[in-house]
Amino acid sequence: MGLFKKITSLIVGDDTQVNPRATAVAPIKRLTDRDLLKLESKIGSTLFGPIPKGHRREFFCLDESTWIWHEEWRDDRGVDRQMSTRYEVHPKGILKVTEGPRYRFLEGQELANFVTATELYYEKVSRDIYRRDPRTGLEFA
Amino acid sequence: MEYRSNATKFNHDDVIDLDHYREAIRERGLAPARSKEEWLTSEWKEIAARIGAGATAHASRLSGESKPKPQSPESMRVAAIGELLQGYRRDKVASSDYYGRMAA
Repeated sequence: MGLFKKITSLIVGDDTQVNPRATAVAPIKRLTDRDLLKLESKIGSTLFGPIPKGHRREFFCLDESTWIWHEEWRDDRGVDRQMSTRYEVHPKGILKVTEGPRYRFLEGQELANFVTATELYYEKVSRDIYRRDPRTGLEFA
Repeated sequence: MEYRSNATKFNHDDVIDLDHYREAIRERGLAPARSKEEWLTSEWKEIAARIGAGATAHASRLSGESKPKPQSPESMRVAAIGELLQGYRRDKVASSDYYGRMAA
């Protein structure tokens, strides 16, 4: 399974794993990484200003070295479009991978913007989801 | 100060210093403190394995070198955030009950 397919599966779920009977009752299960990613992404999607009408945006930290930006929308001709961008942490810098695939290290203002986005993401997610002080990492009393 | 790109808009006043995050990593034991040399060996190997040989080779070509150099400040900051978040997730998953509620 390709990475973009995995990402999509993480975001929207995988129909093959859905048990219709289970979804009809209360979700009796532990939180999963995927649950938390979806919560984080809800916050991440707000970091870049208002989402245009008809767009769906996801922005989240997939793991220690990978960040994902995924956007879906319908264009003027009614065609469904989507764009996924993967940001990978490398020793040399942040590698931006777009579909194609095309690779490019972030630099200049784009790099500054990305780092700022991850900082804001951390700040908001720590407080709002994990109830931790982002400065100390300690849980709020 | 506010700056924009095509798709992004940030309030620079919200930007916070991340040095304390790395300190928090060490204090909370989420990841072992690593020297620069260790970052260049074990960490790089981990990352390289994860992203696959193709992307790694391409990254090396882009950076114009066959061996990784010290991590850029930006990489260090973003990696620190990623490590912290992964630690928080692990803790939250472990502490949630079977009804998906988060522990107080």
